[in-house]
Amino acid sequence: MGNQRNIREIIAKTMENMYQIYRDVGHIAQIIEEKMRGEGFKAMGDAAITWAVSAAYSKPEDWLYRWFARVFLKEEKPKSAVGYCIHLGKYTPEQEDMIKQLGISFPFLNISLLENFEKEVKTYWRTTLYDTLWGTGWHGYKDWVTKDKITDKLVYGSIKVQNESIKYTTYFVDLLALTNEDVITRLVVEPMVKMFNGNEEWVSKNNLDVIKLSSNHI
Amino acid sequence: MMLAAELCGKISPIKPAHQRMEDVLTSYIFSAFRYLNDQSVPLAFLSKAKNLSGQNFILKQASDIYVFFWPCFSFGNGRFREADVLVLISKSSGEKVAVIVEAKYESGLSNLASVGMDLAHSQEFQVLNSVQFRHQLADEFCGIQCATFLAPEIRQKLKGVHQRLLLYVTANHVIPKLEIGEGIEEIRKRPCSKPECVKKAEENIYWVSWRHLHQILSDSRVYAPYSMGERNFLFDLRRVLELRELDWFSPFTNLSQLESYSSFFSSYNLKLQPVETYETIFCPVSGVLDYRL
Repeated sequence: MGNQRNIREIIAKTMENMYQIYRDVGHIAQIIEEKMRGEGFKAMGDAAITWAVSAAYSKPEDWLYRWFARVFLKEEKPKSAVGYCIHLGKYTPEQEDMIKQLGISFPFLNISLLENFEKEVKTYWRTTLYDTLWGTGWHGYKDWVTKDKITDKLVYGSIKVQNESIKYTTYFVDLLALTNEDVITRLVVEPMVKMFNGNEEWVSKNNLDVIKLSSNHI
Repeated sequence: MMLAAELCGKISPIKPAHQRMEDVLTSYIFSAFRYLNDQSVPLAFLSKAKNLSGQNFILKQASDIYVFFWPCFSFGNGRFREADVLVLISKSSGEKVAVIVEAKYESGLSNLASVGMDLAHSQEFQVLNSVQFRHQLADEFCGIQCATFLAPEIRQKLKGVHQRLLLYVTANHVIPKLEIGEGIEEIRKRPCSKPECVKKAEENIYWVSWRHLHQILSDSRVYAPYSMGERNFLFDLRRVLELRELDWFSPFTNLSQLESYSSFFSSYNLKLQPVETYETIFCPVSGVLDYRL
């Protein structure tokens, strides 16, 4: 009986915690969305921020929302895009190992510039772009994504998108560092805008407090 | 304090729900100007407002404040616009500031004019110019600068006002530059527009978020000057903002400590019944259903 009450409390607190965590992630996403809109970017697709989950009763391991992404486009450069993916955790052991190898801990964001699309980015499936943002910079499946160069803060490489090889530049931010609007501007929005405008090394050149990648790879 | 909303007929069931929600919220928040003896919280809220250049609207003290809810104004062409609030502030120096407020909760700007039947035939308004109502922010900014307000008391109190501002209140986390920029552009394109109109708009259209008030009310020190009744009012305001999901951004601060969860299933003991071998009901060669079964 005592154990049951304990479990009951744990479940209640877990649900409350998840609700709060999702609310906070939602706030961060809203701030980024509003700021990017203010910079003249348009988000791809509708308001959906997560994907690749299951509603099937037989797949409880896929019920939980763990990743959240948005892609931003601008008319001036229709074959480029910037975007981010928030990663909360509870990935497969293999994926967690890939992330750990770079010196990154959950929860984190990867923020990426994507270039060299053959067609206008808006013609691709939004979920394909979300998958791309999810894996850039850290995923180790070489048939899908490469890491051609890793500096202390940036990862450069290419990723397969519908049989095309798309060039990416990615950096990583600790989600728990995003405690106010100014930090979000400085670490997420401004670098995305600068990278899109050709300043790929903005985070390095300005010595931003983003995640320093493990020196094993440098 | 949805008294204002009820008194002005804003909670009638014939109004759409989102409009009623917005009007009630406006009524709650701006009633603070009417009912609080000490204006430090309302003025702190106004001081969070910024224009497109990032300048804050600074107002430290006020000797008098008048609040008018849902004031109507017209440019004399038989059509009127209704703002959400008009706040008339007399500073200690004697200078007067008029702040017209457009408040949004979940809806966007109403960029079409509404026609009031009671004014369409009014003899009171003369045709002044050919301003056509279009962009709501532009209409309201021009309204506070040049229009005629329906209520005689407002017209009287607007005499001698030194500064006329528009305050746009929304649920955004950051200033909605696009909407304000569109309003300023609309002002620029108006036939009556002069260069000083655009300059005034750029300087005097301010934005503040409902969330800024939650930020202010989350600081326990702000309650010090108030009586118990006023504190209760402010507590309730804060709670309303939280219920409306208009709280200030303060992430990862409300999480509970947890122990590890372990499954409440003991061993998964299923008693399986033995079964006989299954024989297909289909004929194995032709695939035709065997109707013997």
